[in-house]
Amino acid sequence: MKKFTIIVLVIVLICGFTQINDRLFIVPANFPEPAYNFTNNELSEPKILLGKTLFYDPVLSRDNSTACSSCHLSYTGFAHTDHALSHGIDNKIGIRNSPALMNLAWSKFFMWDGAIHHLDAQALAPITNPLEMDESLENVVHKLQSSSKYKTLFTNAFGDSNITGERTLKSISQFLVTLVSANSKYDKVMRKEEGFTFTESETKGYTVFKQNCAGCHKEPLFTNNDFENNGLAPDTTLNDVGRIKITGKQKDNYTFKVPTLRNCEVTYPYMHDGRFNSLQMVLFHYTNGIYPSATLAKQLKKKIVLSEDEKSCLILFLKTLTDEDFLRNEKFR
Amino acid sequence: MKLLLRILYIVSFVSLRCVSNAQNNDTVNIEFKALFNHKVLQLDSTFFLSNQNNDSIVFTNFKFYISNIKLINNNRLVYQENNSHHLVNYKQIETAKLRLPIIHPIDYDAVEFDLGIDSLTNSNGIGSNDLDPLRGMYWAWHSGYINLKLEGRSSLCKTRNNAFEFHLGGFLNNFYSLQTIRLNVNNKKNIIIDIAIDKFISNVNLKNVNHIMTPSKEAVFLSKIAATIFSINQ
Repeated sequence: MKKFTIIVLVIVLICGFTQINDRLFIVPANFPEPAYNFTNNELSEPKILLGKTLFYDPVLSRDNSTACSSCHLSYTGFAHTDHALSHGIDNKIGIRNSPALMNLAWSKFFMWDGAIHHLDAQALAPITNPLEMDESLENVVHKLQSSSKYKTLFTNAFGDSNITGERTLKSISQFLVTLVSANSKYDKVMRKEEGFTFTESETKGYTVFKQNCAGCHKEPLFTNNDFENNGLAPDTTLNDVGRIKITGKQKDNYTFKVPTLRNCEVTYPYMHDGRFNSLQMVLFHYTNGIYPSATLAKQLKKKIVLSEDEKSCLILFLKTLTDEDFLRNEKFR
Repeated sequence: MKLLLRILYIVSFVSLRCVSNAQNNDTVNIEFKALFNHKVLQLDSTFFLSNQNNDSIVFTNFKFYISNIKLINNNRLVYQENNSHHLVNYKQIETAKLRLPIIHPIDYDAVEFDLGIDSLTNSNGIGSNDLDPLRGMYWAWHSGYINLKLEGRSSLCKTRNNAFEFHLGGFLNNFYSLQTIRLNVNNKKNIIIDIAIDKFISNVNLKNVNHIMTPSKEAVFLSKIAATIFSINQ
């Protein structure tokens, strides 16, 4: 019986591992299992290359002007640094801050309001949004079909030159799931890698973080993948009510997705409308600027009090989440 | 060895033929016939509502998903189609005729199907062929399949260009709009299902309700009405 259990366990383990192409996607030692189902979109190098090519190609937009990479720049964690709200086609301004892209294989919902429930459907939203790329999937596929470059890329990826909407979208997902950031100083300390320890200030900052922030920004992804109202006073020029528009539930009024804090040193400005330009401003909001409302996150109902020293230490800790290997990865360009 | 291969070849050939013969013999055809006041629906043609003003109505687009087709006999499941997702699109009238490849002859007295795409399929993301988001039946800004699209113009609608648009769908808990429809049948070979669009139009109060484009309470309500307009052609 014991032997049988061991055999079953080994089989289950093997099956578990072969689901993911080990070479192309490695689950970091300090990370949980990803949410993305790789069996429905098995990774391969030519598919990732196709996805990357699409990500950087303005062919996805109506007038071939705007690519995914126009608002998601690799050097800044695929965020649109220095832009509170991003500009899309015809210099039109969107309504929300363009989020950083990383560790998407662990996300269950996408967009600030979680409007998208699956990574494979995500790219459709910016492609068709009249403020972003203003194009239809049908026309994108039509344009790709008349390109000899894409005929070759699709053939290399799928074995034939049949270009479909599904293949286009799933290839973009292939590239997106490879954007794994797990090699920051924080990660190396957590994995007890030789020569990596927190400084005294960082250790203090980590304690402050665990006491005040970790409720929503849960380690190791630094998000609980949930939606919260973090006490931002509504901006009357945008009147963005957040997730309630998707679910219709009163409890979701003014709630937005909890973003990861990984690489937050370079992904400014912050919040769904990019209203804060620095981490100092963000901390000031949490200590002094909470706007009370019915749906305010329970973690914020009690006032957060931090000394100036605690704030500086906390920021030093947050900077240990900067992952230079991720930001400078040649494979992502 | 060579002989063995040859025998195998012959056996497989013969058995394959048997199967394909059986398929030809026992195919069940399902046809969806869209009607307006008992007349076959033609897109872009004018019809008239049987109301006081005799308002006019034109349909420009009508498509919907039929999925999880089952045949039932004495309340027992006797056939279930695999990967059963069909987009019926009246701009391509041939899509309104479905063929179920049934290998063994079976008796059945009812057909059951879903109007729309179930939540499991939705949760798995995007699909291929009829489920390719390319077909215009996928919500881009609020992901998920659109179960049914009915678009057109009517003098009853005080909207821009008198337009009405119904995009019904939604797969998450409180907005789950999928409808399962079961119809009793007597004709064993060809199941013809009528869709009385006039019944939908008169039940939705078109004058006031003419733009439903999101998963919502209204979409669930209208989906329930849509489920009542399917009936077996007598």
